[in-house]
Amino acid sequence: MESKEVFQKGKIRDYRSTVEALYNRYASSFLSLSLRYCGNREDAEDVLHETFIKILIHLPSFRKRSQGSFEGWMRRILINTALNFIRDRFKEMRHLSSDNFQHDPEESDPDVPGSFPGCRLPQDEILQLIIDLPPGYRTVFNLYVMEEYSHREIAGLLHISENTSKSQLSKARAILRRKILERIKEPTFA
Amino acid sequence: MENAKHPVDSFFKEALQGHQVVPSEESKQRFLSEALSLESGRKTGARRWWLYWTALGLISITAILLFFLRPEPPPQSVNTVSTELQVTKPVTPMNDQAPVRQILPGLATASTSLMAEQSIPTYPIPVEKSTDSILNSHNVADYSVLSDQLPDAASVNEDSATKPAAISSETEPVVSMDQSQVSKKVQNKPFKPWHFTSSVSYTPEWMFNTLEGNKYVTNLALEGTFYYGRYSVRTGAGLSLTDGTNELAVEYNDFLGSYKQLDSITFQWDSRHYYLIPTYYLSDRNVWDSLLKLDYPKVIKRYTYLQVPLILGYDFLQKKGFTMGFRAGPILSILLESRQLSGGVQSGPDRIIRINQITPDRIQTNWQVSGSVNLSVLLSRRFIIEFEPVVKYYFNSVYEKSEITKKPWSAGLRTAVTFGF
Repeated sequence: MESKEVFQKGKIRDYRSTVEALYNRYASSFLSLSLRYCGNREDAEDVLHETFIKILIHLPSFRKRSQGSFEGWMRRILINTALNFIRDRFKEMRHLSSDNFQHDPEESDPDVPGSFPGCRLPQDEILQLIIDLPPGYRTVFNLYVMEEYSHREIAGLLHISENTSKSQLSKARAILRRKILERIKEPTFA
Repeated sequence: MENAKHPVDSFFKEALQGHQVVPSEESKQRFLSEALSLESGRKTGARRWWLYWTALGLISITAILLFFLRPEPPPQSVNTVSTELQVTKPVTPMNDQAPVRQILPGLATASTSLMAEQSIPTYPIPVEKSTDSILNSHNVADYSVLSDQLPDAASVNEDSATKPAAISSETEPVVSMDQSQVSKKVQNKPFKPWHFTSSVSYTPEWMFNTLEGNKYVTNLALEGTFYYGRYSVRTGAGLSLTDGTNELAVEYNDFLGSYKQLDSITFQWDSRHYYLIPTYYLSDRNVWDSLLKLDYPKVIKRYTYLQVPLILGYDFLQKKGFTMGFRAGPILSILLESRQLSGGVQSGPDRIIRINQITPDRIQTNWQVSGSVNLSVLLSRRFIIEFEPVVKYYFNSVYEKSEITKKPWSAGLRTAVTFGF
């Protein structure tokens, strides 16, 4: 089913079933995405809810443009909603704006990162590793790694400097790397 | 790609590829119900707009009909012409036939020239009798009344020139006297460049850019307008009514139940002094959960504002039956009353810890500027009906916390019945 086509004018027969179909199709993957940003399920579901309402409200504007991927458009709405939520919720975001961020040598990214051969952590556990990051690190990591935004774009979105974004990413990577290595050393995943 | 180089990045990106978390059923149902209410709101909104446009169309059609079907004003030379016709026209045989034509409506003609050219059948009806019947049925009073009413004088005088010439010899003195009086009235009436009107107006208004979405506002006003030539100044007092939804955040502890707490026991001997009878003193104690819960109840309030406008106007078009002009000026709104209509915090036995108001209160005083195009249609000599599409811009937010809200604007249609003094 191409969701965009379902919503094309004249094709909507039953509004409820169409909306339900859209929700069923994307809600699970979007909730995973939302969870990565928000850090807990309750907030993630709120963001997901708000995102779908925004999608329904702004659907006519997407139809008019009729360009780009429908899923990509919805994903952008979700990310913007999540970022707004984070801005409102977490005061830590304010600390990100400091350009004088001290680079902690213990947490810094090693020069030779290596890889993680044989690491077969379940997806939920990997997601939890991201969720456990402090909100600032988590947001920058998600935007840079998962959404492939540049540091310049992240700086613009979060109202921080590029250097702060780089530092946050570096710290996030270091924490994640350490945690993964810890898990690998555990007998279950060795 | 710089983003894909780092092994940590690639590890997480690959590991979370296609990861899904199924949302709860409750969350899904919440979304579906809101989506449906959103759609029904859209439909209601569209239907409401359709009704508004239909009403506006009907009002416009009525206004146009009133304009085109209004009675024609008299020409400038009407008094002179009518007097000449009545005084100088001799009684002719042709005129003798006129009463016959009145009695037989099927033979009636509209113009004098037609009567002169066509051969008109005569009937054996005595002229005197027919004249009497005309005097009785058509009556002289019609002419005196008509001559008092200046706008109808022309048509009446034209008729009298053709039809009742036979009776004009009898009615002539009366008619002539009335006409001369009218002429004097018209000539002696002083020209006033200014005049004053008062009006009752009703303005449905749709306000946009508020925290609660689009708002419907009802305005009722009593206004006075001073006109000087094409310029006007309008002021007065009005009431503006609007409903608002206030969202609250209530923190509370759930009520778990109650128990009887033993406060004290006293003992008394029975009458035989054999047994000790205890008396228990108990009090009810409620137990609440220590978990803090949050609820978002909504309160619907009705706000009543006093509005004082000062509207300046200029009529760029002044025709016999209507005028069109621009109106603009400031309006001061003062909150008179806010009354709770429904909703509110109904906690029951739960213990309320804190209530925070999410939607800020309405502001006490605000200023608006209004701009409009006024169409005034003359209904009668004294009464005017006005239609005025209005756009208003609010100089400050309608809420107290102006930093989180935007300045609204509104569109409305003012309709007013105006009485001219």
